[in-house]
Amino acid sequence: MKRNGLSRREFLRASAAAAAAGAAGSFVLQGCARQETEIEPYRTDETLGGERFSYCGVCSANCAMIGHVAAGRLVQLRGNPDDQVGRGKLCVKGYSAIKDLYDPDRLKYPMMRTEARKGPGIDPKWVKVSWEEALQTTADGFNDAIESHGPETVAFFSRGHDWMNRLRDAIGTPNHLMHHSTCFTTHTAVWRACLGMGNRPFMLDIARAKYLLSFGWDMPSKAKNMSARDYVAALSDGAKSVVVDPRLTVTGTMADEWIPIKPGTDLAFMLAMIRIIVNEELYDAELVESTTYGLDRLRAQVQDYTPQWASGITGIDAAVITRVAREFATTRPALIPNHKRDAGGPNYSNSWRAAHCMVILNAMVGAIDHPGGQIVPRRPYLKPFNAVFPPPEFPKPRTERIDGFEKHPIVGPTRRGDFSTVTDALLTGKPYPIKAALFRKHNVLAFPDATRFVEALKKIDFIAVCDVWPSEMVQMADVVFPEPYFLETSGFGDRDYHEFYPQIALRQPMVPPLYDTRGYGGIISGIADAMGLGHIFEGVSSSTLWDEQLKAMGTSWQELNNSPNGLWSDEKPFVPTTEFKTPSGKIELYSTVFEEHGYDPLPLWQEKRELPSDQYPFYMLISRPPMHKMSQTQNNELMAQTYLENAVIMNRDRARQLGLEQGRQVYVESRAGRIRLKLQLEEGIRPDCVCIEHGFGHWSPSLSIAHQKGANEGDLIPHLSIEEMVALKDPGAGACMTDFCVSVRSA
Amino acid sequence: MNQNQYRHRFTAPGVPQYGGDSAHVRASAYALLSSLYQDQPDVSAVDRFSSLWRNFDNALSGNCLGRRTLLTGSQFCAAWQSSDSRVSLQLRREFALLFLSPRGVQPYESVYRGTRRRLMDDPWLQVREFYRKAGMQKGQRELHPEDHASVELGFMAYLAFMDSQCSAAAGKEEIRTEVAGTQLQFLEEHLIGWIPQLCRRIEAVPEAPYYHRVARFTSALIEEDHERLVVSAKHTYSTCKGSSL
Ligand code: SF4
Repeated sequence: MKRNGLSRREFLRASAAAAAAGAAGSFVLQGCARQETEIEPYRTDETLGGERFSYCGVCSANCAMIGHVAAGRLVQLRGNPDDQVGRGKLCVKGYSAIKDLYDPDRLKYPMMRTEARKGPGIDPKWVKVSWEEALQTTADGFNDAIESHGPETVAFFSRGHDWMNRLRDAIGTPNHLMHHSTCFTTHTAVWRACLGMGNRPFMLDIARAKYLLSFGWDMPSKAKNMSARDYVAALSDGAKSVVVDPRLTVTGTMADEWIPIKPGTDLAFMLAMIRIIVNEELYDAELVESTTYGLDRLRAQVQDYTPQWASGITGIDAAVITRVAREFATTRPALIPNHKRDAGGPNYSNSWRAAHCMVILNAMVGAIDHPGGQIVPRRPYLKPFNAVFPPPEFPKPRTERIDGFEKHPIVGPTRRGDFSTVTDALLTGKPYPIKAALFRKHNVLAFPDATRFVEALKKIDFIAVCDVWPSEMVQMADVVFPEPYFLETSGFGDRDYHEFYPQIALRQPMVPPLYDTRGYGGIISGIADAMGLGHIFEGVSSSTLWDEQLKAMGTSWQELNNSPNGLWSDEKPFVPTTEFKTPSGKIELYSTVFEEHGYDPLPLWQEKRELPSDQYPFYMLISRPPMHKMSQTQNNELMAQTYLENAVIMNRDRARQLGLEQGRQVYVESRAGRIRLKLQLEEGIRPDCVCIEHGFGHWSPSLSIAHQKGANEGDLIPHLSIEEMVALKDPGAGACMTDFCVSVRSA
Repeated sequence: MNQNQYRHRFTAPGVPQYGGDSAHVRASAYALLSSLYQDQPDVSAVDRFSSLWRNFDNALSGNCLGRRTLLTGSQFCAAWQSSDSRVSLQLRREFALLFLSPRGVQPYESVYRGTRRRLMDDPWLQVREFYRKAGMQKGQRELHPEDHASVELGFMAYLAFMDSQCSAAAGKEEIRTEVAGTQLQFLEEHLIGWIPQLCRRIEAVPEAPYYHRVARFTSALIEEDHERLVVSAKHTYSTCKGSSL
């Protein structure tokens, strides 16, 4: 407290002295904490208002946003109209990010647990610690593991991150895991093999398509900003939409036609479509000739896949399959949109084959990298971290990974890891135990067989967690590092969810950090320093990296910061790709890469792994509601007001036959586990299916809104052993997220 | 209240000629509590406070602190046992449980009195404005927002201290009346409206026995201070001086 040049501390001391000198007893007018509250004279030089630029960090679409700051607080977010992704709009999750910024439950300071036992219902007995203590404790945890058991016993569970990757390599551990095998690696494998592209194939020019055929693609249900609005735009522009999905989704309700296919049989539908299109020569002959490889072998391969055959498998009339195939091939531009957990995502053991069919069908109608199709984003050149800061020589990992991910030669080099097999490895300590781990923003609820994964985590001696919220993973931590929310950070990012020409968006802090947080890069370099590895980040800084990257693009940090719309663009005309980085230089319908690695080079019919039985009579479907981002937003008050908890969605007639009514509490059980939820009855779902929305069942008591709302369907998903995963011969190592069946009975 | 006049007077309170004024005791109690919500307690500092409190002349404190405040303050002090290192760990655990990894306790006025459960809601704007009118703001290094319990209690400690300074300086009765009015206003517009509720929530967390005492002490101080200021507002300052105050 300052007044008349006297600091609070000074005047408190002065007053204490005065009091001591006085007659009526002594007081120390100072606090009893390690720090003291400071109040000082008002200054008018504060900059409290204005507009700032950023891009949304709730999901990876990264829609560019403009924030309005008034009286020092962020009061409104809106889309940046010049951004290619959001085009002036955000989705419900983006708009409500302000709520997350100001969520009082956020992590505020580094903390350490003082209770050795871990798990749901156990209070970690946190204490606040200094950054130095948190970093040193983590460094000691890592060094102990390395010295006593070897570098491979340290694992990182985190999206790839330049700083983290370098620390991983300096330690020399092969064990780096991300969630992708539960999300889209089946698509990745197919695109790497058939198109020679390593990155996410999720840019769609839906708005210009005239025929949209969705196999489980349901981005409008998930409120993916550009996809939802482009879908509406396409329909308004007269496009026909056909949705093949066991459940009537938001995409389906807006479509011209809903085809309620039997789960996991989309592959058969698509194989029959390929046969019709090839045999009737409905494909774009010129494009197929010039840009694809393997049509003749494909033709020979699919002859057994008649519409009648497919009808028997899918439960869909042969005439419908035939008509859809013809419509798809003769209406241009036509597109099978795909994104993550659609029919080609890692849902079933045959999903990678469905993803392959999607590429073949799109290639045959010219929907790959053509207007109205699936587009390869025109990303700017982002100078790699290691080119800006050349790394020292690091030791090669001396062992294999614990999750067996390198056994999948096509996706193995991405080092994304396998969330499905890691549980077994941790539980059994085979091939070797993990002794120390760092988790970043990967929550327990995201893992298959989540309850068992929690048990597996107890086998790790030391766990550090970086997060924004006190998630379940935080409850399992020994040390917690609080990170800032994206609205408090700076940087830039490109537009790869919708990037017809290179464009980057600026991220400025909307408000100063609310708590004592640090960015991930700073945390990692702090750990490295404390481990005695400070040299690996010598001269490394975000600002230098950004300067170098922006210079390589032909701009600068200053220019980007002064940009009137917070964007930098390199507007070039769009020219479709004709050369692909495959052995043949073409889109390989017949994949020589698959062949080389021992996978089927052409899609063959294969049944999904598990079918309904007397014990488990229902197919399982998983979706998520539009206002939530996975398990990340359930504590957002606004989102909770609109969707607080999940339910088991079941067909109304089927429920009636079983004597189950709306709202009844039921147990849903699979061979992996059992959860309890209430029943929600709908007409728009096949009678042999149930669906549960993901993201609920939080057990962290520190999430005051989300705590104990709904249940986690992840508890039903069986995990896999490495042997089981390898036996599936899936090049994408998909986690079979819905390839199991369940029972439903009254609770 | 004329804002400029108020600020002017605050910038020139005069050289404190400090005596054992009752307002000083209040300021001390508010400062203590502010710090206990601000950061995890430093046991040696709490010890120091406790021993001073125990030596405190009840006759004087009776003039400025209510019976419940005195009782809860003594109970609070009695709970500390400096020689026991477990107490320190327990205090740190309680602080983190209550304020860092919340179980329904969030020490922000916005959360209790805002239209929505979040930080930086309207009460935050209002309390900032209150400080501004008093010519003050929270310190630049202070991470907690202005409506955090520690900052509000710290501001009240500041007002109580100004009160004590005025009472010690000759010819400051008029200013002291205004300072008393400001304290009453701050209590009524802010502290009284949510701190007792915060304290009840703290008391509902079973794993926090030490902070239960802090909570009881806090609500007693605020509620009795409020009653006392209401009574004193009905009298001129001069008639109260040396009696009920
Ligand atoms: S789609 Fe929604 S959540 Fe994702 S980046 Fe855009 S606004 Fe944010």
